[in-house]
Amino acid sequence: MNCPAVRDRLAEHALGVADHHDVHAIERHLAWCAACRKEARDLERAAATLAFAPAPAAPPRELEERIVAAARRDRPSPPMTKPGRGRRFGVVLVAAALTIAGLGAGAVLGRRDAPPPGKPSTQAQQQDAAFERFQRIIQSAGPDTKAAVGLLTPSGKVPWRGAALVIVSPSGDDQVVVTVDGLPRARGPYRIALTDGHGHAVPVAVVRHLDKGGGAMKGRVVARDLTEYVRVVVTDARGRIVLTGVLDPAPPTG
Amino acid sequence: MEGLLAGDDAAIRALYGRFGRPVYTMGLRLLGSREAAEELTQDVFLTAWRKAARFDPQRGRLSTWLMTIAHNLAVDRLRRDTGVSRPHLVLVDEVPDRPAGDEEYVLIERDEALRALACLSDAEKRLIARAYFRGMTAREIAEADAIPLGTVKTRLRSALIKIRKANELKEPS
Repeated sequence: MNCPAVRDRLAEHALGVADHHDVHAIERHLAWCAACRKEARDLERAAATLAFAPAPAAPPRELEERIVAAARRDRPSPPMTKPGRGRRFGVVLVAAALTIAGLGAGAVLGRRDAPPPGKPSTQAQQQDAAFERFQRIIQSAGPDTKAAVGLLTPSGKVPWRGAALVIVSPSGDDQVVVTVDGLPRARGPYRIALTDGHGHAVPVAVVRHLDKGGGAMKGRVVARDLTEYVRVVVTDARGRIVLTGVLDPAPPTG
Repeated sequence: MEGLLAGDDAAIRALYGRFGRPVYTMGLRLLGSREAAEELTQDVFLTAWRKAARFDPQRGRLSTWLMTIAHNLAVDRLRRDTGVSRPHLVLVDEVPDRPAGDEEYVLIERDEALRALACLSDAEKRLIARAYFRGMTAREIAEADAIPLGTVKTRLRSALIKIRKANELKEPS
């Protein structure tokens, strides 16, 4: 996409309503074109002004306490960007994802790595095999390949949890694995999607069957660049968000 | 922001004290229910806390960063929640609540927003409202209003440029 084509779309991009198919091309162009990037930033600042236009409405008094409490529960996850913690935390997250699901990842990652001969017989073996495969994918990935991980948390005081792993590949075939745990069957089926912060979503899977603990593991290979898709959203049958999380870069585990 | 990075309760409260109301308002206006607005508000502040390290003051104001997060999350949700009942949005001519404490800051921001919107034609205001507050793409607006797509894009762009110029007039050089 050249400069005129990008500029033709920058207003919609700034307003968060650019066409789904255009966003990646726009973002890629902005990554190297300083002139268009400046124009984009100016329009984004103008668009942000609009946020304050409606007459203020008062949130309920208890909302602040709920947010502070949720942040406390979420506390272990945010310092991923701090030096020295990302690597260890990335490993912990991937391991946590597999532990939560208690399932092998071969089925969901089979396209890139052929499943090993013979299925692991126990859950622990399945976890080990799956974790090994995760590590192998990340480790064997070239320097241009990136892994991103994130914990999924609920908005209220419910025992719902999840984790997600995205492998971004220069080949264009990116992989997503999402695990959930503790979800009530009555609110299913659940839909898992990645979003890019501009209103665009990539569906990952529909969870129709949960195990006894309300857990499931889903994944898919996506023939597109998921670099900008840093948010994972799990919604119930009525479209209500039950789990959300933000993916952060995880350095190679090896 | 440093407090947020450290997971400081006081920093989260301070951020909420300053922006809780506009974020909640955006949720209410875009999503149409208090429940959805509360969920969005919580989501926005948790996202801000998790992404605090990514905030770059060289690239823009804290309010721009946070409200962009809020708007993107709201539009995400709006597009998923098809069929949700949303109130008719009135951008201007509404009387704001009486300010208190940090809310004065919000009203100053609102005053600036309304001044900027006053520079727009009625047609531009309608288009901006449809795109920003209802999450409609230019193509959707064009089809709904039977206006050429190019016209919609041109008006959206010219409207944002007018707002940008209005902002430049109030900002120190």
